[in-house]
Amino acid sequence: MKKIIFLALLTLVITNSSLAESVKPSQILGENYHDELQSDAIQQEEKKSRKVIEDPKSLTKVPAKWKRGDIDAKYLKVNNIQFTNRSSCADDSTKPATQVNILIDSMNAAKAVYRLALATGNDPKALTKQAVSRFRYTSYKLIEYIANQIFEGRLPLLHADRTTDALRERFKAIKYISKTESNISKRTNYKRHILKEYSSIMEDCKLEGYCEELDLYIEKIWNNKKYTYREETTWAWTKVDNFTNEHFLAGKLLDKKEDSNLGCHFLKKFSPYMAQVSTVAANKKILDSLAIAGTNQNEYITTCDDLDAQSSLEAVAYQLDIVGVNSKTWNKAGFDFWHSLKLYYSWAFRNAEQAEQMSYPFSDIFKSVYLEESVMLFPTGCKGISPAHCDNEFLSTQRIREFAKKNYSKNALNQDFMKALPQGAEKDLLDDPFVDYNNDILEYGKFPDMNDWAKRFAQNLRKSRSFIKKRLVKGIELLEISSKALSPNKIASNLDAITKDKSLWSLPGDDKISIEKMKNELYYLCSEYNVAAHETLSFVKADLNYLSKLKNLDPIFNSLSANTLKEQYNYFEQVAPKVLAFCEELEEKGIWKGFEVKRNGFSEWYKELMFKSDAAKSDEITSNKVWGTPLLKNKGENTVANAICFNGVDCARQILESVTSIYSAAKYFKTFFVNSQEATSPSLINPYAERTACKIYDPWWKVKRTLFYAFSDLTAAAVSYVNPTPFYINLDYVPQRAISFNKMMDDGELKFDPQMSGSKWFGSLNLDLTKILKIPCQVSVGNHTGALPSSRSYFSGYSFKGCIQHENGGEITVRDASDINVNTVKAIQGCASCTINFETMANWAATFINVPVVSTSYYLIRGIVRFYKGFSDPIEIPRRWEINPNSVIDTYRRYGTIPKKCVKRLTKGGYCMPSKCEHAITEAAGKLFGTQVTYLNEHGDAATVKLKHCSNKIQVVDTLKMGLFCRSELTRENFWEDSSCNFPKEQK
Amino acid sequence: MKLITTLILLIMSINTFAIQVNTGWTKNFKKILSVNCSEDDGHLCANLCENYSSCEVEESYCRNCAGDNLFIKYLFKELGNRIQNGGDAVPADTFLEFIKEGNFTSLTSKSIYNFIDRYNSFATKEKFRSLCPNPTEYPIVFLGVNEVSRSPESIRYVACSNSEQSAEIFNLKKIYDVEVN
Repeated sequence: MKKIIFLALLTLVITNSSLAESVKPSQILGENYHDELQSDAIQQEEKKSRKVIEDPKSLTKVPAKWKRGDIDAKYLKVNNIQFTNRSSCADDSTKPATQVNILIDSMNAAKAVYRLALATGNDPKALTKQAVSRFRYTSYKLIEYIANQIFEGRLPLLHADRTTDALRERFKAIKYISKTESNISKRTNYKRHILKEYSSIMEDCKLEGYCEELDLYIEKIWNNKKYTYREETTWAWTKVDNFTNEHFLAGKLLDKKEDSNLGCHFLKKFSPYMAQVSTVAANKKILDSLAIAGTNQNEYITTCDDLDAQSSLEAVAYQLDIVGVNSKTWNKAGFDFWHSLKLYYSWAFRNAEQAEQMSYPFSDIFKSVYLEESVMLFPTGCKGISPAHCDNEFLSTQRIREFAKKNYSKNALNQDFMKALPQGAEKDLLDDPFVDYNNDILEYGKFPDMNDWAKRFAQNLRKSRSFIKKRLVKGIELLEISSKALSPNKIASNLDAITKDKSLWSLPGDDKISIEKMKNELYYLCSEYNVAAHETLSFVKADLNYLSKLKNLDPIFNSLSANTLKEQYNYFEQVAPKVLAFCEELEEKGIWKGFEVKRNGFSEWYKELMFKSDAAKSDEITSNKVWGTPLLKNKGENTVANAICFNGVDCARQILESVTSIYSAAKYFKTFFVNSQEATSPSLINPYAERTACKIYDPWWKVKRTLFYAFSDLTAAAVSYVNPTPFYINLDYVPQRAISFNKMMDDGELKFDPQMSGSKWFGSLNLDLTKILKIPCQVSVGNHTGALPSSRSYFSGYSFKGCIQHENGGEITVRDASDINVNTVKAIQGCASCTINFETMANWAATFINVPVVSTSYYLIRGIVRFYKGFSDPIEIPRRWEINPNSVIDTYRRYGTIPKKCVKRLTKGGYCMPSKCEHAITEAAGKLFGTQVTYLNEHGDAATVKLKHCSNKIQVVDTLKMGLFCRSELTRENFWEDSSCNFPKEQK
Repeated sequence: MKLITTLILLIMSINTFAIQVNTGWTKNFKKILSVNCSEDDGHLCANLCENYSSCEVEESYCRNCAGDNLFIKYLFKELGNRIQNGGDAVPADTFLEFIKEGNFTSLTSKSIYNFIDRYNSFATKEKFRSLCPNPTEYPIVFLGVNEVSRSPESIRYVACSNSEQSAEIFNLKKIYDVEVN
């Protein structure tokens, strides 16, 4: 009895103390949620609600008349808004999105049509406006058309990820019973579903820009779409490729819409309809905001064909929703869906008759538009459009999110991808592993409306692309000319000549270059070449060497240069040893002894790399490349205008600068350059997509750790019960994460192999002196620092401790991620600590009152508390919420408020009507007629309903008379509409 | 003939003994290349379109030409500079064979794909005019496009006028005319 009372008291105290530490709901909310302005309105609505629902506990007792039936909120064909915490968001990156944004940059179409108007005598402004509307219409209508063709089983899905693991996963549900084995065995027969022709084409065309075979392949599929896939038409499809039922989505959608499974909306401004980008968890505050937004829906959201709302001719962002999909099918096939949609879209935009009709009369102009640069798809939430991979292509695509930032243009040159010698997208992951993800990272909220946001985003992207392309073309051109006309030996001989013959140092005119300036110039040359090309001194040579192996720039070289990238790089590699030998000679002569170089004359890339501060910028400008007779020039007189480079120093430096320009474009190729047959689709909202793919972050680490703790505590409890001893073993689990990347070239593509932090297990052997010396002290020996003795002390108090440690290398740098932030230096450490807190005092007291099971109890209780606290983590234990915006406004219209009782149901994506039938009728009224219920009186298998667009009350009845009223989706036949109805739009 | 009525002819026209070449737009914004043949050289047109006096060839689209296309940008930037008249006169039948294949796109100073210069500005006209040995108001540059993708991939010809206002077709070349001192 004594033991039980003791344990009960202990549990009570511990549970209270741990609960006190748990996170409050208000902490979960993003602090910057913009909708504070609406708080007054919400409070007013709350006051009204108290009058509306006399008995809030009973939702069924509300009157038939809808309290806010006056609100004109249309039914939206949108998916639930999905809220996720960090770990869930990271985990979502492996799942396909059903809601995406399509950013349409109309500038190319507008520029072409403006000129067309001038050429044909039309009014340029009017024709441009007309064309921009038509371009946007064609863009989303064609997507809708293709999506519906896929849903109808007329177009097959093509593999988004052709790796064996991905294909195995994609087709894993397809199992068969082996005929060859006597026992029943099941195995994945994914090979049967691999599209051989398609895979072969993609393998051959990889990274080679435009792929003719792919276009021809898609043309064959397109011509075949008259044969909806079924058993009788299999022959038609197997003629094209290895198509099976698994490549077609028809019949696999649970909820096939009569008209279309794709919704297109234009979100006018940042609003609660986009709450997922700035909030971790769904709660009443968000429901209230959504309800209030619904009262003025037209201010925030409209359909894509509402052209008046789209004030910017430059760019627009539409929200596309794939609705009614079976989530199980979708999770397997969703990435294939988007990949296929993008391929079909690129082909159809230029070749399909449907696109021709949609874009009339501008079809030829639109076909000439650089479509893949003009259209970009990105998810509205954490789920993805493309599978995440830890390679340079995926990582550099993700950097596109920087262009959405409001201050991008001010800070553009600080971005790694704009630098002359960038470090690479992988560096950002290591430098900033735990970034914000729910803090409106695309900065929608900083713009007055979405027109402005889209316009700025497209503008930033366009200008940066242009800048990088210009730099690239300049580099290619200089290398091409130099390699044709200027041999490495010529450069070397010129270098020798200018150091020996000072008469060559003259500036145009009578000025002479000073010795000091000459020394500066030579110093720049030698420093830059040493850093970039020296076999042993250079720390960027290894990176530059990747250039000759990368294939992503090949198509550009093919179109602009007679040389390949490899040939141009080889030329640089021939120049570099000559320059370095020359520099070595100068060094031996000691020409820079006691000389102070003016740093500003270094090339930009060198300054970025070597001088992190702005110190170089304050130096006097000393670079003086224009001196002497031009070494390489365009045919004609020896003028500055004709000069390409002036001397060996200048020419060699320009050659190196050209290499860095090409390198920077190759390094961030996918940030600026697009695939010629597939629109870009970065996961802009989810910076954890790349972090998860590259093993920087494990979404399940906290779950694993909590389960590990539970297991170790239970084991410790059992051991201490069986064998009570002052010795005990403490084990800890530390999540592993990538701390560096090994770079690998895989068929011309740069991939990263994450190098993980050391051991994920840490342990110590401890001696509890409480039992021996009857003082609350412990001694321990462990394999890492971090005060293991106190790790047994789960409850805070006062500690006195000292450690002796021997480090054996490998510091793991982990920054700010709640309790990922464990100081885990690999070391052998011995510690002694005396701690006075609840736990040690209880233990100490127990030795006096002679309770032998204290250790066991302690472990058990600690196990429970750690388990509870572990799974209470609001950030690191995956959690998700969903809100159906239609249900929220229906609830609000029904009750005049969002009753507290509805919060749980609504944040799980459900509805909160007094009955299932009310919900079914409300939803059907919106979906079928585009109207809203204002009164609803349910009686048996029928209901009397007042609809907003009908003067009379109408009857909704169970036409089948099978007692299944409202158990399935209602149709038009259920509504006995009369002539008093005048619905806003004729819905099928 | 129906198309001719809807054709909005640009002023550019190059006459030769054999052919005249014009570019223009239909009211549905389809680009048209019209070729007129003199009586003596009617067989050239007949070979192109089975009509002895004139032909209208609809130009296909030019993939990615309306945009930040490096090839097109480079072309407009370097016309008259690194891209020059190659000096070889091209026979009319060779040129029309190229047109007949349909894998071409034509550019003038009024091109809708030129996003780097002002539309039909003096400077732009000068760039084009520098390609011709004789004064030509609107020289027409012809690019070869890929048969399947319709992407421009080669710089082929320029149609100029001679002193008697008859057309001459020349090849175009990318020239690296540089010197080392």
